[in-house]
Amino acid sequence: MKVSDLAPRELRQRLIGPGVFLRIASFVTHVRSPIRSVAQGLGLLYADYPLVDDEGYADFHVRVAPPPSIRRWIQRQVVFFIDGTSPFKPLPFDQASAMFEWGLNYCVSSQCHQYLVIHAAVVERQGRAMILPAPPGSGKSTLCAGLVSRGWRLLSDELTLLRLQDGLIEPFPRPVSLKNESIAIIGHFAPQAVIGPVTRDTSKGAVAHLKPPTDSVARAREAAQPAWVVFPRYRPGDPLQLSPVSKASAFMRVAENAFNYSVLGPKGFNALAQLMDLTECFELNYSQLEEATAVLTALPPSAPC
Amino acid sequence: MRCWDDTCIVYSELTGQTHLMGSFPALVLTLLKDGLSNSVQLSARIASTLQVEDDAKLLATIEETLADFERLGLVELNPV
Repeated sequence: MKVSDLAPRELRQRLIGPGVFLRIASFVTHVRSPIRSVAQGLGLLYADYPLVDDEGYADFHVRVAPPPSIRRWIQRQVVFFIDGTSPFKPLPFDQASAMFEWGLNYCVSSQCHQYLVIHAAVVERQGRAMILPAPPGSGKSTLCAGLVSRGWRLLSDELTLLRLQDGLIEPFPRPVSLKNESIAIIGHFAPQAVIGPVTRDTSKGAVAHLKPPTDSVARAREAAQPAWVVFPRYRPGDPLQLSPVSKASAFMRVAENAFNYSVLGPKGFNALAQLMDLTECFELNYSQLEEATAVLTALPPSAPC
Repeated sequence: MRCWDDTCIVYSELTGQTHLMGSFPALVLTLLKDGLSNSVQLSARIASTLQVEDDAKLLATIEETLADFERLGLVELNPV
């Protein structure tokens, strides 16, 4: 059964009551929420995701709900709970759906140390994965959405999961987080794309999420061989420039963008060294999304597949 | 330690830190791991490996490198 098999009313009732067990790639998340916008967000953006048996195991038990204090009556707020505890401060109520996404990122980045978890988008084409590590504001998600709209498979917009045991990338496809101007850019670039409602005045500005392609969700258990690491940088008016980056420099930059590199110690070092052995590394400066997606799509394959 | 082209990445199990370094300090570190334990020995071996003069300038460079390593917690220097 998929999320889309539930009528909106039934999905909402389940979220209010026992919750749903949502399978996202290798993870099962038990989600509960009394908030209508969370149900609407799940119904729209997670329509293609499988639901698993209510009695089954869940990796994360999460709840998005108003805070259990008097503040809920003063200023409408929302809190993300994992296993009954709340790692974040409350946010304004209308950010509930976005908070679910950010909270789920936290669950994986803080707990899943069977992977080297890199703050990076990752997409795949013809069996080869391209990792796009970058700090916020670099145009990472815009580029990821652009590539996905031009036939690349979405593995993740936010969290690249590098498996320690074999060096493959484990997919974790979820809605792509678009911010500010990127929302209109992707709406224009990919008119067929499904983009959820815009949440304004978040700490990141205006935020909306792009629904992942159905094929990416269906293939969410297929790991991919890393082939390229590309550090994107969007700057209005910049000419397109794709330049090689030395592997040692790329190593340090990826390590800086990894959530748990220090936690993993020598395992993280070895995993990242192996990643560098397998990949070609580049820096991409761009201002035109069409040009950027074309130049990346034209990159010759590097690693054996 | 892993090297690509002329640059190396070193992970220190002592400190948990990762360091980016050029080929010369990486060579010094490798020789230390191999058991060479003073700057005079290091200078002789490096001069032979790199086909350069074993002179006061090389020795000074090695001692600067060792001081950097100590500052980073990669080695512990004993006074002679």
